[in-house]
Amino acid sequence: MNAIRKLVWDGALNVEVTIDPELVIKGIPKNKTMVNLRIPRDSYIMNYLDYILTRLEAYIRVNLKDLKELNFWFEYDGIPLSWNYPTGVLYDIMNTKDVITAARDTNHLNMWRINLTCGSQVPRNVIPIIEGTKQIEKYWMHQWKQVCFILRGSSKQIMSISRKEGQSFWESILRRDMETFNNISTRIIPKKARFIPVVIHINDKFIQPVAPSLNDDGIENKVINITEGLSSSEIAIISHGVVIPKKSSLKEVYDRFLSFDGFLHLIIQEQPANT
Amino acid sequence: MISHEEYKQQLKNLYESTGFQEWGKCKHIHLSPSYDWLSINADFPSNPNISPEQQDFAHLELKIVYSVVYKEPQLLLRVWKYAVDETGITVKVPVFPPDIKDFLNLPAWIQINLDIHSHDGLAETWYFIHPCDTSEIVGMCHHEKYLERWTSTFVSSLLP
Repeated sequence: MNAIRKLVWDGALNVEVTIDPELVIKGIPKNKTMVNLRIPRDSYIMNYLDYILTRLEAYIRVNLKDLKELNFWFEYDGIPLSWNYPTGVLYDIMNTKDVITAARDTNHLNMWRINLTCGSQVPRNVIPIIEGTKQIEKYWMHQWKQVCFILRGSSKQIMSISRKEGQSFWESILRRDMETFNNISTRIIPKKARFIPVVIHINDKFIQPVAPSLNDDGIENKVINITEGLSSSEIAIISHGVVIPKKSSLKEVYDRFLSFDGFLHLIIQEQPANT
Repeated sequence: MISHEEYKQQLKNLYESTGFQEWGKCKHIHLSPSYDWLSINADFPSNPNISPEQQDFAHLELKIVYSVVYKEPQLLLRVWKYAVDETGITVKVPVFPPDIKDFLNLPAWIQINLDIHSHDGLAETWYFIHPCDTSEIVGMCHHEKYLERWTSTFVSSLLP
């Protein structure tokens, strides 16, 4: 299990971010308005905003300080990306076909090309950043409170974590410190859970199902038990870019594939019918 | 805690009573046909923190929903403001003041953060009042009055 957790933790995407041409000084060549990054799948893309803006500062028409007054968001193919999901989840939602291809082709190398744009109003599905990076941290901690409640039926375990430990927990994400992350997350996640924190992403929607770890007969639920009925088509279930066997134990998949926000994110890809 | 079915029944009863209409800030109220949620357009609470230059605020939108995770009612909030769009027409747009607790004069114990609420496939940003300590805050009461008591604590007392 540790080897899979390490692969999940180390998973990263090659991302090319191009800034909105409206913000760029006229005459600046396009290649100067891009930043290439390797972003961990298990991170929020919004955590990289300040770095990207600082890298492009010399080519932007507006003073960086004034830019902070604007609302920024990322887009892929004109579709705004909801930063409140892990970056890898956003990639898998937008590129499910590529994910399945990549799973079959070990030589597959992808560059995810996205745009950074801004305006006075953010799109409906994007949470505006109004308190800087502190807001992202607070949002993430609220996710963990939910996770703790789902797993244990109470948030007491996470409330018992000191402020200092909570800070270390967050910084373990930013510094990619898996040991600290594991030390704290294993205190929140019990060996035997009542319910499993799952978010299912299907057809531009997300669902948070009630997912008991055991069925009525006391037998471990399988992944297929919480996904059946969601689509009339044949489906593939993806997590962290990996196609998950449908008959796997839900708890075992959770233990291996949980994201840094404590949820198991499952992306459903509907397969075309065979003709 | 309250079951989803009890919540829906109590929400319907509350809507049919005069409870919300008697709350002085209520301008408009709507109950979903499935009794899953109730929305209220309300005046802003009296607050010296709202300065004159902020007077183009239109109204406060409240939404009562059911949290499947916490098995509790949950209050969502949005602030609407008048703005002029690119065609010169005055429209209402949602705004998200960073100091929402000061802005609405909310007590210190309230935990509030922005999150996405999905309804009928439409994802939207709202302020969420965190429901994790709801049972302790609402206190012991007759179960059939749970939502009434919750409303008194989280709506009319919070936003007088």
